[in-house]
Amino acid sequence: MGKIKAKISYDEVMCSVASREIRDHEVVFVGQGIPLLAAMLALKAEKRVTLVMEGGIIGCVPYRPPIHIADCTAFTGVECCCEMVDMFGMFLMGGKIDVGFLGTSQIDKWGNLNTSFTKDPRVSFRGRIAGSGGANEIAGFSKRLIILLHHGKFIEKLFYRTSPGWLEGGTSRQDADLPGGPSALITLDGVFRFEEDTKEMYLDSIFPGKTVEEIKAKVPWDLKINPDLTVAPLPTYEEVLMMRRFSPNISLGRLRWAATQTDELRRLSTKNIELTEKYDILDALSTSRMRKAPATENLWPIDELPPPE
Amino acid sequence: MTEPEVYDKVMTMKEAISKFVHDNDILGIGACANNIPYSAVHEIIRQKKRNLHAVQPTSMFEIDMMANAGCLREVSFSWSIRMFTGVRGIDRAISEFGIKVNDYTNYTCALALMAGAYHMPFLPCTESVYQTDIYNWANEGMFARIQNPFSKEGKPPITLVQAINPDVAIVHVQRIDKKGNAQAWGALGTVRHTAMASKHVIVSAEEIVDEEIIKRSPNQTIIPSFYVDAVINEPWGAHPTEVLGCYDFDRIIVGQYILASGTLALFEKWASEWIYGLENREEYVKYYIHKFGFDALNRLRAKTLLSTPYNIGSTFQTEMQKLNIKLEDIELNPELVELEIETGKEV
Repeated sequence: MGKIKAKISYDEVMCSVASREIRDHEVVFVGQGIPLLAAMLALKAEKRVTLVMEGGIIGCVPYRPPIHIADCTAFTGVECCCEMVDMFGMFLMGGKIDVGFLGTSQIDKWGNLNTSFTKDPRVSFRGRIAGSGGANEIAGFSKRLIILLHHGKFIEKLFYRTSPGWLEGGTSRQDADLPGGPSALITLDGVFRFEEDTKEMYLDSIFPGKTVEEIKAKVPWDLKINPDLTVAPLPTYEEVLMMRRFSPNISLGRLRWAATQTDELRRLSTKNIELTEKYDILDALSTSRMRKAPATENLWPIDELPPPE
Repeated sequence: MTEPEVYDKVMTMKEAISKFVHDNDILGIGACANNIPYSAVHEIIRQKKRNLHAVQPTSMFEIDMMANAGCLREVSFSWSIRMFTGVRGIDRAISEFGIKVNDYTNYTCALALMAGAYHMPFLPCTESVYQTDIYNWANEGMFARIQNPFSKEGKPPITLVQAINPDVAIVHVQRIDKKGNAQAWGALGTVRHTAMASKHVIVSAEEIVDEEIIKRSPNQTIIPSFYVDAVINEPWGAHPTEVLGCYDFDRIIVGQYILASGTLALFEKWASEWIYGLENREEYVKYYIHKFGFDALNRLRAKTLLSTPYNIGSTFQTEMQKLNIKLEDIELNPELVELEIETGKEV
């Protein structure tokens, strides 16, 4: 018998590892992107989890990835719709949310997050990115916080602290009257956790094909390593299929996906859009990083592509 | 005795924006990522309103669009969508044109609007804000710390967020009646508090329905009529974002806008085609069909999945309800009513 050969991305490893952080019967605050895909994998593994989204959606099972935090059109019916203040003020502050999932662009050794500026805002506001959104409160009040670092980086001192992690380590978070705290950081290289007493980050397990030296080079401080360092397991084939069918853009990585989108835009319209002439789209594209995106086929066995809509 | 001033709230978007939105106003955008009143946003840009202060916790492209068009002097928000760092209209407006940014979190911005809606000067917010640069870098008038007057000794002070009361709110809902009872469903975000906190409320809706339909599902009414100043019948009024039960997110327009927002020149091109070049939403939809074809629009239309009706009956029914006759049926067919004078019982 022949063997199935498929290449997978580290994004997919990250997702499946994140999904194992979710336990049965938990209420999970999901955002768009990888958190959602991880939550979907948990659902697929028959964990009874309740997914909530900050726009006011409770108990949803998406049939396509929601575009944003209030995208009700991604579900056929949800258990409850409410308002944003209810979601934060009642449910989150009331300790009803077990797991919060957050992406970040910068993180320090105590798990404090910056999602507001990529450059020092004291020098230039040019580096302003998304902003807090619900991140500040989700980080502050979820019972457990799982942080995903996808394209971001480790930094000794944050330019701007958007969301609280373990603050200055030790008991500082407890002293500030904040419950919970970060429990894991998952990057494309491995899983990091936080020490019981000092709350400093350490490397707990690495992904196959990565080395400790490689990871240490990305961290500006002297990173502590778990003496019993393990290698995280690869996703199962079933998980990979599920991720690719459900959300190719996350599974493949946004850049690769974006490269397919210009074709998609043309295909979607019944008349030819003539984007190039109208908006100098290629100019815009070349200034972005989209051009550098590797071709999809290298990673994706072509017969596994989801059928076109 | 003077008659109360009765005026028709049903009007066009053009009338509504020129009547209720003025330069220097605080503009509440009553939407969190879905049901975004793009029709109103486009009209504000078209009428070249200036120096607005936009308030909205989570913004997709509407604040970016207004920043690109030069409508804003100040924004109070917590998050706005980004595809590529540093190429949005809002980035340019902040770094090059120096518009003021009040950086909230979703919850604190929603609380500020909630305080406004409940006519409180402020509301207590969270310690997580105090522990971060959201608080440290805040502009004056956003947050404050006080000792909790009810707490026993030794308890730390609490953080407050000041109320925001916009001058005018723009909202898009699924349906509304002529009086202005607005009904919406799906994730509500901050729409109710934004509307109730504002002095004037402009509501555009996918359809204007009979009052009777509103009364059959009263829990769906998110804004009662007396808050609403303008009622606008605006099908596709939130396109290209989605409206639950009506249509889905449109990636064609959004994709074009994201690319067009890259530079001011590209935006001008885009805006002259999709905003300045078109008179109103009807023309916008017509132009969309002309450009991309009817199928492209139809692809977005929602399939029908009706909610389960629930019993709102009492112990009595009117004769009209018993026979399922409506007032307009009687107007059309007066024979449905037979009036008879009761005799032999003069008082």
